Amino acid sequence: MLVLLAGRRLAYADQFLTQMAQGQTPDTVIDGYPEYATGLDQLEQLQRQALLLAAQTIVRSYETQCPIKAVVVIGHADKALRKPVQERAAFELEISQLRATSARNTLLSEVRRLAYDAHFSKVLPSVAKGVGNQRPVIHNAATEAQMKKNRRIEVFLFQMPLPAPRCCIR
Amino acid sequence: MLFVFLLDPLVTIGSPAKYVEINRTLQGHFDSVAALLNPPDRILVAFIPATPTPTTSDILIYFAPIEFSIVSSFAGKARDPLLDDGDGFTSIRTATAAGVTTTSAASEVYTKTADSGILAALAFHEAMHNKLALGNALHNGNGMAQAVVTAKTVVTPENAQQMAAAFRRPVTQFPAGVALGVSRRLRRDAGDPLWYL
Repeated sequence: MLVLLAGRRLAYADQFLTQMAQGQTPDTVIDGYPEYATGLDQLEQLQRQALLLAAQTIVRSYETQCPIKAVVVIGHADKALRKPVQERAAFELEISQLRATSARNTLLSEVRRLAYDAHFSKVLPSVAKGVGNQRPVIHNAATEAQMKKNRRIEVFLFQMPLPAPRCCIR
Repeated sequence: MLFVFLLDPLVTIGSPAKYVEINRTLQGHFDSVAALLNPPDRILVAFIPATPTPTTSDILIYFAPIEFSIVSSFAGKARDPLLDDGDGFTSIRTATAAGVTTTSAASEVYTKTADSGILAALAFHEAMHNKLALGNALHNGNGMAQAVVTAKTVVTPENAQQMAAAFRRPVTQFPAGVALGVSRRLRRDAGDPLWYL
């Protein structure tokens, strides 16, 4: 676990981190994406602010004995009702992946900025994964407001408590 | 004037405010040592963004990421700080030639946290290993000599006395670690996923 989360990207790290995020409550949820929108620049100021707060949380955690050692961003899409049924699932998956990747990249670049490009900000393990419309907040969303709730990203932050600082010489 | 050079070739700390805090805290620790130097002298603690040229009276402390040990290159054997589960390491070598024994040492602190008090305490602890040329035996002492230190650990009169008595004892330092650290930093920043190997 320690080896996995210390900046060493093993082949199965992405899968492992994504599994860890399943069943957990996200630390940050940003919803309200306009239809087909994937970038944070298309969101309201308040929603963008939530991601910047997550970046601050990560940087501040390094001043404690419980730093955040990994980040998972899961992207979600609403049901793409305008698309033909046979193309729908693939399209939803693509949109959600683009949302997750865009949010992850913005988050990491903000972490690097706040941390003055410190080492941890450059090697922080992160995963961006789109899951399409598999996990909607509102099933059978009928109104635009309900669909916006489903168009979202979730950010999971994984902390690891450090033992008391000690010398390696024994 | 005597120097304690602090080096961070892989930019593990980053924040200018943190460098200042660590420098200030560590300067406070070494001021209590300098007060006991005989003949009197000053000890200046400074982060150096280049390769220093220390005398054998000076001390060099590296700040290193947990993935990569700079000191292992000095020690001549691989070591993995990540698996070792510690926060600081010092390697000490002695050599005898023509009846003269020389000591050389290299020290590093792993920046698992950005807590400046902890990093300064660890740096002082490793400086003690370095200057006193003591291995595990150092940990029998009190204050900063203990194996586990925190931001609240203080430099005891015994710690200061020991360091003051030994400060001018010649110990050759390891400035070559800067070039090694910079080369790894360039690989890491270029996206090499195996920069630490």
